[in-house]
Amino acid sequence: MTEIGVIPSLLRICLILVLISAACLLTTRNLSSLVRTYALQSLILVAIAILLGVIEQKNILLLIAGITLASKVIGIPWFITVIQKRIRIQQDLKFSYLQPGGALVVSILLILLVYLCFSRVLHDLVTQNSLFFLGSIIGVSLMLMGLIAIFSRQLAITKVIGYLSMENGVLLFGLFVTELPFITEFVIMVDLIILVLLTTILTVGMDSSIDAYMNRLKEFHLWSEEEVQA
Amino acid sequence: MSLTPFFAGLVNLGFVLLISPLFMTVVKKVKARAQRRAGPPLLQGYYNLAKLFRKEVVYSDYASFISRIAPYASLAILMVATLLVPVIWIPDAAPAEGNIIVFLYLLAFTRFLLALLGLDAGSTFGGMGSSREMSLSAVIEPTTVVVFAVMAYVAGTLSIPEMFRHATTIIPGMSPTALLLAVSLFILIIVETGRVPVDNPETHLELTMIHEGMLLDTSGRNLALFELSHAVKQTLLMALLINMLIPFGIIQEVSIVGLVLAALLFLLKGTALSVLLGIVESSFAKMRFFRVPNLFMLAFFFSALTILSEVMI
Amino acid sequence: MTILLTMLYPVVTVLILLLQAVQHSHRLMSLLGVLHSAATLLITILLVVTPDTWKGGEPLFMIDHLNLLLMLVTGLIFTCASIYAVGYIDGLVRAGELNRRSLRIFYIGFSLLLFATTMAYFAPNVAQYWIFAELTTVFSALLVAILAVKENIDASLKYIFVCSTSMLFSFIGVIFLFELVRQKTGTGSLDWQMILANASTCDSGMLGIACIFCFIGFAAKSGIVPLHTWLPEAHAKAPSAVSAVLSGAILNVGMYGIIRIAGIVHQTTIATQISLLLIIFGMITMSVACFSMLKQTGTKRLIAFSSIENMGFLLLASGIGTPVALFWMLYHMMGHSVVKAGLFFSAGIIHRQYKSHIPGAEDEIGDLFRMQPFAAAAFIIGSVAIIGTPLFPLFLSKFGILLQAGNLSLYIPLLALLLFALAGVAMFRFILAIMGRTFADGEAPVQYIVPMWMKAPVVFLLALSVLMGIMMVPGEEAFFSAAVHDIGIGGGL
Repeated sequence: MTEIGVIPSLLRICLILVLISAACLLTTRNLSSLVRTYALQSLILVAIAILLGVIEQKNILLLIAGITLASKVIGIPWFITVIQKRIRIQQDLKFSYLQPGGALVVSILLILLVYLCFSRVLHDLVTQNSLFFLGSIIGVSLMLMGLIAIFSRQLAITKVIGYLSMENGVLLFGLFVTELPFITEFVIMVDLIILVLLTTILTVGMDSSIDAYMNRLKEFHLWSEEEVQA
Repeated sequence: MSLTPFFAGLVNLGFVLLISPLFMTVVKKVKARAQRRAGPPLLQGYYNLAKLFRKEVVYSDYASFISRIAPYASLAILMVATLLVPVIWIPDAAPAEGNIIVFLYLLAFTRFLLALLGLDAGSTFGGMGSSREMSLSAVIEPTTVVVFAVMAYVAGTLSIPEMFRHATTIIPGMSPTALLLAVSLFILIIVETGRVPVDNPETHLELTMIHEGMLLDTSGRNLALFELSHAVKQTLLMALLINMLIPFGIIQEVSIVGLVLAALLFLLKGTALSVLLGIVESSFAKMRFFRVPNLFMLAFFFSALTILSEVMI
Repeated sequence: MTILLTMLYPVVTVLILLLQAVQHSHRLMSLLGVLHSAATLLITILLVVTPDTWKGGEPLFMIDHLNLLLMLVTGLIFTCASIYAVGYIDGLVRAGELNRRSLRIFYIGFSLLLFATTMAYFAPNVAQYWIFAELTTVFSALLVAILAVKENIDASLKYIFVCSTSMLFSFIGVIFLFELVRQKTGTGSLDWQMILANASTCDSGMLGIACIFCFIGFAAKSGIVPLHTWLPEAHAKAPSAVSAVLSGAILNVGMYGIIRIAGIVHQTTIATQISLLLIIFGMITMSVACFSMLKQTGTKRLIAFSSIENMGFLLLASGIGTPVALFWMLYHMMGHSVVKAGLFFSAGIIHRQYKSHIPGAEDEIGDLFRMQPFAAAAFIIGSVAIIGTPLFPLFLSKFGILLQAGNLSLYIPLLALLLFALAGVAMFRFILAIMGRTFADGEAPVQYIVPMWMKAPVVFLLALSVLMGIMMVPGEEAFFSAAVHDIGIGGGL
């Protein structure tokens, strides 16, 4: 801890908070707390982007913070709560492949692995700016924890939230490693995919209880048996 | 031979024994207030202890010598542990030889005695309480060790008075390590003292008891001693947390004014922490027993993250 | 001049999309689709025969031999698929499987998919390539899900998940590449050419990690094991026109990225490790695919696994890395797309005939020669071609690549030949099983009249493959060599 500046310390605290929110994503079973945790994680990301923008004096970071705030803190959680009210899912009780305890242990091992790999590869970042090095490690770790969330969960909505936190991780990584010219396009692209996924889940009702899903299936099958004029 | 460490140890011991029941009652009062009840008067802890000391001790027919010596042994061990944790005054020479690992295992020893006591009376509820307590403590042990290791790593030493001395020299709260340490220690307090969400200390349903279950067959003086041990354990852990995080007020040279001031400040900080404990307890529901290890895994994640953040930064 | 020619691509697309949006008649919509693909193919051929227009570099697009080659294949497959779709989608609508309201979405999605693929190939930098590859995932998933039954939607969601998640990994690789170029030249850039130029002097550790991350994303797009899980489902459940496009055009998009990466690392110190990685994954993919083929009971799933096997073989060739191997690899890509599309088209005819009314059950195929002789003959010829029989192009490419592999280690061609034999056994066991079955009297389904729209592309593609296998158009060899050179692997044949 050689830097005493206020903003770098705040940044460090925010980065650790991001990892904690990722751990909460891996272990919560309640869907609304999952969405809240995701909104919180995006909020911390917005704070990190603003703090970085202040340190680096770059306006594009503030722009990214604005986009993230609009789409990920407000927009997507709102959409998911709408879906939740429509198709009434409450809990994601089943975990496949990895129970939450095991998932947390695996994530710690992954963080360690990422640290070891990166300290060998990104030497100059380590020596120049340890804050940026920490940021890049946490970015990739967040991405890997999102990956664990995707395949240890059963419901499609929680898989989508896992994918969203993976995107957060990549964004974090991009913010810290270098200034990327296409980052806004990337963000918009991934948000587009998320919207497509969420709309599909909403219209088809993938995660709803068996009865409601069966009804919708019957609706589709009935439609396939009727005669259609060419 | 200087008398200062001896004196310091006595002051420490007396202070901790005196204020422990107060902190317990503060937590109870906060919980009661949260439930819109008036709650017990603040000195209720002392009244309870006095009442229990006057009552007759009844032993079960199957009880062995363990039931007779466990209460005294438990309090004695905790008094030794108190000598290791300077609460208001860090003397130049420590009153007892030992470090944080010894402290950890002294606490573990008390828990062991308590578990034996629960089995000793030969009742089913006691056995159930003992087995639950042992399984939970086995899972929290790695977390505890890692948290203490972080404290040692940050301060660069294993001895607790040195850690507190180091804490007084740095500005607290400006690093993620301090934040994580605070949260981990807080979770540790909740687990070690058996509070909601791990275990409900005010339950009267035997099926939900973990800690209380082991104490079901104690009475009179023995029960008083166990209550006091419980309170002292909580105070010691709270002292660890407070003195690592907000250590101002702790004195390193003796003076009457300094001592009184330090005592008052610690009382204040301890009360604030107890209020926080009460609020946290009121906010959660007790977790199902088989879900508690999940909470412990989260705590382990926190503590591992603390070490990683210390190493990576 | 080049700008004008290449700007024709988006102009044509916008025109077609506008016209599609206001159409009501199905026939007109499908004809517009054919028009779009044919126009794309024409523009590509124009670009091929006038090389002077794009020899010099230009800012918006990067056009070189490799791009044009793959674009040629894509245009061909899309054209045949849209001609096929005229009859196929009509059949779907008649049978009630496809809602009339979804027709417009289908054709618009089809055109957008073609546009996204074009832009992905001609992207001058990695980031644009990434964005358009993601777009192809989204649009093709839309096309897979167009039938709106549970299995299709599940398959399409799995497709989007696996591919998008892996593309996130490759985005991290892209960020690393950017940082690498920035370290060399001060201002970072993601231009394919610039990365190629600077690759040999870059920090090899970071380059290695960048390439591994990029590889993960592009491999998922091409269906490399272990990221292939979306492929059998998506190909089997989608309408056959879409399956042909997926196998023949979209898988190549991922392979294009891998080729470029292989070219970038070719001159560096980590070339041997990356080659080893590619060869190992190629062998694993081929093994998994061939063994899985043995127990398939559905026609389209069988063909889908054959696609995975061929993609693994392409990966093996790119791992070998010699100019000859890459020459034959590009040839194999072309041949595979053509033959695979033909196979999927005939499988589509068979599926239309024998579609079972129980959802989720496999088609009951029987009396094949009596009911659909054309499809049966096409399927047999296609299977013979895909295994690598002489007279067909895959024979030449497999021969060439295995010879090159033999230079590295004799075990590779040995294992590969064994796996090819397994694949052949699987295909023919399947064919013999279905060809020999007959229905009891009165149980056979009504014969499906195959419209000319569906027969013509099959004939065309199979004839083209025979032509490709027998002779080379003059200038073709030079074009392929130039393409190999464009990847970054110097040296002639």
